[in-house]
Amino acid sequence: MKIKPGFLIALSFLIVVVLLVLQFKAREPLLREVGPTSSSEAIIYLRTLNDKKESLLKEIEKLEFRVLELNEVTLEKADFERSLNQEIMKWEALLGLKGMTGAGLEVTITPQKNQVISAETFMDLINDLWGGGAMAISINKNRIGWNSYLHQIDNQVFISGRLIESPFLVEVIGSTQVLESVLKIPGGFEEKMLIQGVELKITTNNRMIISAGGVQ
Amino acid sequence: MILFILALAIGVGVGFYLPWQIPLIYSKYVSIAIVAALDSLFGGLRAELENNFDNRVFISGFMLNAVIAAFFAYIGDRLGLDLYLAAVVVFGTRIFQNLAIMRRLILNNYLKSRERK
Repeated sequence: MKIKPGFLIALSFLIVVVLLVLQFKAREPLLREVGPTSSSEAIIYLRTLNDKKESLLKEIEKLEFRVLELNEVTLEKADFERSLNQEIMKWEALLGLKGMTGAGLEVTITPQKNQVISAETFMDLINDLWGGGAMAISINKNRIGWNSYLHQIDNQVFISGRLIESPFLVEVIGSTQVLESVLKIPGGFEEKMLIQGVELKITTNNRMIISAGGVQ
Repeated sequence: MILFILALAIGVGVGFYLPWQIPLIYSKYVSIAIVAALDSLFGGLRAELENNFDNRVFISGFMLNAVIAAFFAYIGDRLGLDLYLAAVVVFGTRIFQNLAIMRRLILNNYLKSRERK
């Protein structure tokens, strides 16, 4: 079958047109995105991009420096938080809100029959011990905390409303040497007790446990 | 002439509505193939005007030139040589030559027909 030349050329033309349109479709978004159509424009565009790249690199450098600074601040914050937590724990222990373990003293006070140890004497003892850097104090297992109170009715002494009876066991956690020296200082608690004829026994315990007093 | 206008319209329509795009990495090779195809097309038109058009020569030229030009561009890319420039120069020159010859032929035909009148 002989095909007419005009028809064949037109068919080829159609194929070329289809290819051209497809090519336009493929390249058009790229040109729209990149912008430049000539090499000189491309060079300018490239230079602009290089400038942008450099400014971005500088920006990145600045931001990295800022990140380092922020990291330092965060670390400082973490240190601050840690020391704050330690301080809170210390105060919780001092206030009797938290149980404590550690080295300390056991002071056993045994008065003679009909001899009265007043609430004031216990107050003096407690104050002496706090002064000696005590971390936790308990009398007959009654933790002395921020809201503890002592009072006396006749010959009976109460700690936060609880009666304490002889022999009195005072447990205290802290530096054993300092606490002992506080108690044994001339004119101090030990001497007062000896003068009154009260039997006083001070022993050291390296693993003492004083439980939390709780809020009453 | 009507056939060409029809082919142009159909070609544009088909090209636009075809749900397919030439991948960008092959875009360069298709461009070269189009230039080669255009060269064959103008060569065919010229041959038709000179009354020595041959279907086989036209079809083989149209197909092979496009394929070989694209292949040249591809090989050039692989070798790091701008071989596609050779195709662009050769086909570009031939297109202009063919267009010049066609112009002369059409002009001569037109003048002859006017003289006859």
